[in-house]
Amino acid sequence: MKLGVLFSGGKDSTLAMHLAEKHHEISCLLSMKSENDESYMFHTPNIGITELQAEALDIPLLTGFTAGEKELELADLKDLIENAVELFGIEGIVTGAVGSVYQASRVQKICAELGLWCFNPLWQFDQIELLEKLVNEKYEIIISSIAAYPLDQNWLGRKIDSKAISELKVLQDKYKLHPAGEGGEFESLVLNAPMFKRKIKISEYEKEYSNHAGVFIVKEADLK
Amino acid sequence: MKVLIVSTCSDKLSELEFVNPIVNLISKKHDYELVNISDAERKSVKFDKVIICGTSVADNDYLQNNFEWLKNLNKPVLGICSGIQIIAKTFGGVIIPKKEIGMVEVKGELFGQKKFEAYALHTNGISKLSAFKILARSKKSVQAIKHKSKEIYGVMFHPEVRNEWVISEFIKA
Repeated sequence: MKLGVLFSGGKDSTLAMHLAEKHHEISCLLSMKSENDESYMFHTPNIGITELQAEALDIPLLTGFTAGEKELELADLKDLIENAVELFGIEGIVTGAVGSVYQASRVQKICAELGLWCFNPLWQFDQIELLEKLVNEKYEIIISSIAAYPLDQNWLGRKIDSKAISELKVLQDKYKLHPAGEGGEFESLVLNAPMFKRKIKISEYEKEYSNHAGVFIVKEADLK
Repeated sequence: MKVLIVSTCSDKLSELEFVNPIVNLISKKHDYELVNISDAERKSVKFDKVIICGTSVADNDYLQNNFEWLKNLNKPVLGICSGIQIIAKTFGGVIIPKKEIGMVEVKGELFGQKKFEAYALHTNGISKLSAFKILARSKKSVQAIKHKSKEIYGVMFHPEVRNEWVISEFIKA
């Protein structure tokens, strides 16, 4: 089956693609650029890097644009998926949804309306096991934004490795923080992964931070 | 306790979404074996309880299987989504178009719970349920049934999402 992946460039959509690729053909990546930083549906920091990631993966990327208004952004997503059906003949969509009923049910509705399969291979995955799987499979991932106490500016741009996972476990026990960021505590950016043919090298970045909220902005990056 | 977990997925990738969460819940405390619906008849007698898992809304292949074995199986069964459809069809019910996707309010009584929010993900519903007691409904659909004389339950919603207690209560019952 030919599939399109809803791709944000973060750890979940990349791992979901990797799992889907074991069973089906990944024909294209679909990314939504939202003007709303607070979008409920779309992961926004560094979404421009998806172009570089698509090049690293050697998979075509379709980009959609949305003002990011609640529910209206779904019509924009539906348009993007319809374009992918027309251009690539996809029969299904893959998402990186883990536990968000809000996100998953909205994509499920669009797929049901369009007669497409909807695959959520990480659905209900334990968050610590998910992080450990990524590290074991040699994913190179950094934290690209934070939005929860007690995460501070030291987490911006930090690599997710075994030490970071141990610290996230402590924060989970002490502050009920979702260790894989499932509650929106942080977003991630994948620099290298098993399906990448080349890795992303960041040469210039900037951090914006205030009161446990911040973004790691990639100013310049290329493939090596 | 040995639980037979039955996959109704025609696509292996869907099993990660609809079967693995059930396996993860059961395997914490019980022995289990996972089989595809086409193999369930041969295996079901060796187990204490059977859980028939759901599948993707795009997947209707499970309806092509023969479920007559369920009639002679004197073991407790819980069918989830496509599982409730299989159970209903086996005992005289019919499958009808009925779409619900997202969180819905469920009212009635299921394992002692009278009202709760549940995750619905189906485009088929069930009707003509004279062999069953209807335990709970949402605004649009029958959400939980029990066979009138057998320990056979079905839920249309997905208990593995936010209502894991349904699976623990079924196992305990």
